[in-house]
Amino acid sequence: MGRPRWPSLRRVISVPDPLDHLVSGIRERDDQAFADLYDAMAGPLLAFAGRMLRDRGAAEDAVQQAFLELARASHRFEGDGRSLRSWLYRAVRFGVLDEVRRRRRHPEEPHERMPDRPFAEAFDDGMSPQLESALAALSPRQRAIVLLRHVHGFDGAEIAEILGSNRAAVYAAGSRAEATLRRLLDGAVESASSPASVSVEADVIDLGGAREG
Amino acid sequence: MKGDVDKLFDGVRAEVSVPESLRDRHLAAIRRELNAPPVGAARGVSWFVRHRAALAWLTTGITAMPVAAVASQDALPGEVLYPVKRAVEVVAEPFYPRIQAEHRVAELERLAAEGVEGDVIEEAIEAARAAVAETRADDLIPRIDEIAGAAYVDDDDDDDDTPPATAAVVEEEDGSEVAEPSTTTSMPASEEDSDDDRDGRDDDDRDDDGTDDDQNDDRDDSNDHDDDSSEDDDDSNGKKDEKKKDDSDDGSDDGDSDGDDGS
Repeated sequence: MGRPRWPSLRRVISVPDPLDHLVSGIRERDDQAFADLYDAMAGPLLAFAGRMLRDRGAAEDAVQQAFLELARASHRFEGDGRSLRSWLYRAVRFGVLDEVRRRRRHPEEPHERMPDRPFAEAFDDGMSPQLESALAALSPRQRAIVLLRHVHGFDGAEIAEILGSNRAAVYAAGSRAEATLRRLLDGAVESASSPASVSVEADVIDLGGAREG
Repeated sequence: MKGDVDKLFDGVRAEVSVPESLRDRHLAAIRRELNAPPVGAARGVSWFVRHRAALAWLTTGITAMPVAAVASQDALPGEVLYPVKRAVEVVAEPFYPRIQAEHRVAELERLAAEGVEGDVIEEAIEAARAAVAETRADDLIPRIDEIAGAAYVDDDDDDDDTPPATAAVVEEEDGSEVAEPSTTTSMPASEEDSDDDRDGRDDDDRDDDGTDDDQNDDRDDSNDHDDDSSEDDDDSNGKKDEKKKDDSDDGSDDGDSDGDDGS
């Protein structure tokens, strides 16, 4: 990975962010600012949580928890719009981890009964079934890195902040995840008739390795 | 390396649509949270309110210190505030040992006037002597000695300055008690050493078994002959007996018991 490990370019050159004008309102616990923030961020956060959990209800809960968390801690928030965005993703990821742990304790609950591809149909998110199955085979941490980088457009430093890690670890785990994706998708293209080979069970087993990577 | 994976995500939307019902539900929950009373160190609570307990304790301590210092100035040895008084003196008058010595002597006289006895007055006498020894207030020594003599306390510090009255008092006490059993061994010993009060009394109790026998005679006549016949062998026994009886002492034997402790 020949990427230079410099500070995020967005930190060096202050790029204006669409959320910047909401920060002061959020700090003052303003209703309207929270509503605007919700309208701007609920969609992306829901997509992220949904793809992490493959469960619409749990994803909605995680998003709500993130906003409630912000409402509780908003007076302590410091930063610009971009860090507000990172903060929300980080909070959603905590909710996702809680859900992952809950499933590990009760592995027989609805997740197992889920049909193979409920999520894309429920969300209409434009993700191919092959890609979704391949993502499901990754560990939650690797999936989060891939999604944040390629779908939500965060750079390495921001992903490290969201995951509570450092950039070197994020790059390493990300490159491993991409190699896995490539391998799985090559196989999936060859055996396109049976995408269920990467099954939901693999996802459940993978949840055990949340900290790996 | 990144490019080919990026292609995989072409057309993947970064967000999904949020239904109106879900939005209303979430916004209502957020609004409830915003209007809920803030928890803990929330905004609007002043620093003084949050630390009111610590501030109250601090104020109490700052107020209590001078109060204790002033209230302790009339304290006597053995009272709760007396250490505070001494500490205040150490801070306030470190360069005036004469004043401290006068304080010690004045305390001693007040204690004596109140009729205090035992360890308290002995320690007060010691403290007064030490304070006087640090300064040149020799004129205070007789005042100490007067009380020390009345309290039957050994004068370890100044043998020279002991007034004859003290020695006489102690000697009389010893003599009267010792003379009662009419034993011949103890009387010459005390008379020989009567030039020095302390040595005389120590000799009384330490050197000969006569005193021990006397004690036994006082309380137990049956042991008398055994002790007389084998003085050296029963030395330890006699002392043990004496100590046992000293535990159940009454006021009449104060002089002797003090002497034993001193030796």
